[in-house]
Order: sequence, then structure tokens, then C-alpha cells
Amino acid sequence: MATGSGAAAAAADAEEKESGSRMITLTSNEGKAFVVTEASARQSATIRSMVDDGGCVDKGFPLPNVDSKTLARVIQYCDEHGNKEAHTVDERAALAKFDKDFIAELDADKAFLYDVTMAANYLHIQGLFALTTQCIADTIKGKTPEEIRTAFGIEYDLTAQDEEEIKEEDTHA
Amino acid sequence: MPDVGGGDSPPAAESAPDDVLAEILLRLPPHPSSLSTASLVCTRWRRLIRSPTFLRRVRAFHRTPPVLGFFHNSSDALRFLPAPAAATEDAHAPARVAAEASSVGRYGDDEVWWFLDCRHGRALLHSPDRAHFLVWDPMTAERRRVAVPRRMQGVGRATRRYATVFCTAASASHSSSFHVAVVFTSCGRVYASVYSSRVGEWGDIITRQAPFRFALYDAPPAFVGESLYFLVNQNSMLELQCGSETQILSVIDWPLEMNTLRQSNMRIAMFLALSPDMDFILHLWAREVADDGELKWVPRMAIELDKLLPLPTEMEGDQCRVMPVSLCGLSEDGSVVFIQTIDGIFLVWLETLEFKKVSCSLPMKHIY
Repeated sequence: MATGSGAAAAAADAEEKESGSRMITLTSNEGKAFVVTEASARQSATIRSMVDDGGCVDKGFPLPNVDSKTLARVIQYCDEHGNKEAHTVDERAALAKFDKDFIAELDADKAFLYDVTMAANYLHIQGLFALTTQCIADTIKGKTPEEIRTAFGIEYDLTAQDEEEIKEEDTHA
Repeated sequence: MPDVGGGDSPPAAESAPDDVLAEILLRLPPHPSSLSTASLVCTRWRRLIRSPTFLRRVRAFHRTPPVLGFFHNSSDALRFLPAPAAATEDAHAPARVAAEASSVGRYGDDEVWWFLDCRHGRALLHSPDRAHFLVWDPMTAERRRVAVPRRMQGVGRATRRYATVFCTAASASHSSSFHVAVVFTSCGRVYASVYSSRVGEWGDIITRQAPFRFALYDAPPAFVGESLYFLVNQNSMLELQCGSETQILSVIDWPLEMNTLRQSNMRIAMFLALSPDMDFILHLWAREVADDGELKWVPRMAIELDKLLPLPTEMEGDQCRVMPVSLCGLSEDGSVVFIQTIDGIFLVWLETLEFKKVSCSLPMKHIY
């Protein structure tokens, strides 16, 4: 993956002529350009449908909802899953290992994990979205409601009526 | 790189749009207790988790729990036979169920509970006098007794009764909420009633005229969508819709092609049948909405068993003949099928067509 500039875009144009190795430019909301292989970009269903519709492949795709830091990380995932084969047991194991390390690193920075989740949702990158949402769910798992509120900075706002309902359910349960 | 997350105010679930939050909550462990905990966090989480759409998605996302093994009744106790290398992450689960099963058999004062059916993680048993059901969750060891109204005990007369346990999408949000359905025939009519653990009572008995020579077939019913399907003779099926407060009982037709099949070789899950002995083809039907908007049985899959399994053969004169095979069980979600041959029972995963031999020949009807 190369970053920035017209040089990269020119390189992309040159490669476009070779079938299957077209390059696509994604631009973050800070105006930073990321040049990726088409296979990598196609991990995103959003971009895939724009490419297939014959959209602005030459002009690249501006992504107004994604900042550079997040986009770089998302592309890291797409490169791994788009550019590498996953046919043999070993290849699949290598991808699984990548996913595991990738998510472990994100998990250490919850705000960033959330940004990547939102980007994966916006770009419709199914595998990445499943990976990050599962990671957040695992954070919730095993915590009490109070602990969850603390972990996610949520204010307690259940009404007396809610509490009554909850008690009601508990007696039936 | 500064850590903007930290412990103070990670914005994750707080500012995520509903659809993203739903995707996160969907991935909590499928046990109802984790959802009920999450629903106590705040009103927004609560509203999301309690919505019927979300509960339906939870069910679809996690599907049915993995097959752990089979139950069978023996004269002295309930037995549980773990499935070999079941597709489960929890390797100890089958052993736990087996240990629990032996204690359930002796539950009460020398009573032996008789196993009836199991579904959605719960097993249903009845007392020798048929006056009580026992609803048992082998994973949590929870047991609940349910008294059976006299009319539904099915004692005397030529009454045939089938009872089963299930959870609806709405009840899945409550950890210990379940339903028990009883269907029985008497004097040319078919009756049904559903018990709700939330209400703690049986619902009204609903009834309809049974077609001529109508008889319930002794196979576990299937739970598809929010309805139970019971196999009956006369080329039909009994449908009990349980989705709303009031149930609807109706008799529906079989798919046409099935008329030539032997009853003993059918199970409904989605719906499965083994063709007449000679061609060894396993058919799988699913209940789907057809183009005209009507629910219909649609053929889904046909598997040539003789090409898959090492079916036993015998020499008959100078001809090699494949011995008969029969269908002895199907998991709730229709993903695992059990095929009996004279060599033993085979477990076949329909998705991957992998199979494994279960080295015994017990009459296994109830797959947990």
C-alpha cells in the first residue's frame, strides 16, 4: 500500500491496464489518499458496488466519514483479506492468526476500536465488522449492569416503572 | 499514539447508532441471562433488547445449540448418550448432561420420569401417572414441575397424546421462560393446549374435527418459525401456530412426492424423508414462503446416502444387495441427521456431508 499523491495515482493508472491488479484510491476525510489493490478495496461492499456500477474508479473514492488513522487500520485488514489467498488450511490459519492479533491490538484502545467498527459498518466490510462487534460484545460479557455502565460511560436512566417491570419479570422467571 | 479510549469515557456503545449497538448485543453469549443483564443497563439498551425484531435476530444469529447427544428411556432410569465429537466448543457439556440425566431419573420418591421430547435446550419428561410434566434444563440443572390438567393426561380410552417443550421468540428474552404444548386425539377430534411458564397456567384447549382415521405419529414434532408441526397419517401434518396469545390448529398437506414413503423414515425439522429403500436418497424439505405469499414445503436438498456412507451389503445369490437403512433422528435445526444401518448408527452433518459412526444401536429418538 502506498500513501499520498499524484505519483501513486499515476502508478495506479498504469497498473489498471493489467487485468485483476487495478489500483483504487481511497481518500480520508483529512484528504489523505490511500492507494490499494482492487481486491483489497472489494472487501468493502460499499466500494465494490460503486466499482461494479462503473463509478469513479479513476477519480478515487472520497470517504468523508473516515479519518486517516482509522482508514489506515481498515486498509490493513482489507489488504490481508483481499490480497491473500485463503484456500488451504495453512492459509486460513494464517488469516485467523492475523485476525486474532489485529483485534487484540484494537481491543487495547477502545475508542479506536469503536472508530474502526463504525468505519467497517459504513464501508460494509462484513468480516471486519463481525470481528470488532464481537470484540465489544466480549467486553460486555460477564459484567454486571453497573460495570457495563462504567465501562461504556452510560448514565443510569431506568425509570421506577422499568424497575417495577424488571422485578415482575424476575418473579416469573 | 495517544490512548483516547481509556477508562473514563470510551464512547463505544454509548454513541453508536441503534443498528451497530444491536449488532454488538447480538453477539453476546446466546444464554438469555446475558441479554437480561444487558437490558438492565439503560432504557435504550432495554428498548433494543426487548424489541421482537431483535429477539428474532438473536435466534437466527445463534441458531440452535449444538447437538450433544441423545436421550433414551430405559426401565430404571433416563440415559443420555453423548454424541461423538459433537460440534461443540464445550467438551465437558455432554458429560455434564449424562451425569445430570442419571439423577433426574431418580427424581422424587422412587419415581422414574419418562422422557418425552427436548428442544431449545430443555427436556420434557412425564411422571408414571402422567399427571405431571418435568421441564428440565440439563445445562443449568433447573427443573420445573408442571401439573397436567386431568383432561390432558391421556389416561384410558384410545387417546394418543404428544407433548413437547419449546421457547418462542418472545419468551427467549426471559431466562427461564418456556412453553409446553400437548396435542391429543379423542373421539374423532384433535385437541391442543399450550402451557406458559410466564403465566404459570395452561391456555384454553383448542380443538378441531380430525380427518377420518387421523392418527398422530410417534415422532418428535418440528418447530419452524413459531409453529409446531406434527406428523400424522393420511398424507397430512398437524400445524399448531404458537406465535401469539391464541394458538391456531390446522391440518395441512404433505408435499406430494412423499406419498410413497414409509412413515418410519420421516422426520420433520425442517422436514426430512428417506426415499424407499432402493435408492437411498435423503430428502430435505423446508417450510418457505412461496411466490404467492403462501407457506409451502419446498424441497431443499437430496443426498445420495449410498455414495456417502459405507452402507453394509449382503450377498444374495450372486448379487450384492445393500442392506436397508432407516432414518432415526434429526437435530432441531436440521443440520445433523442420524441414519441407522445394521452396522450401527451414523451421524451425518448435512452442511458438510461429514459423517461419523456412533457405535451402538439403541433406539435413539431424542436428540439433544
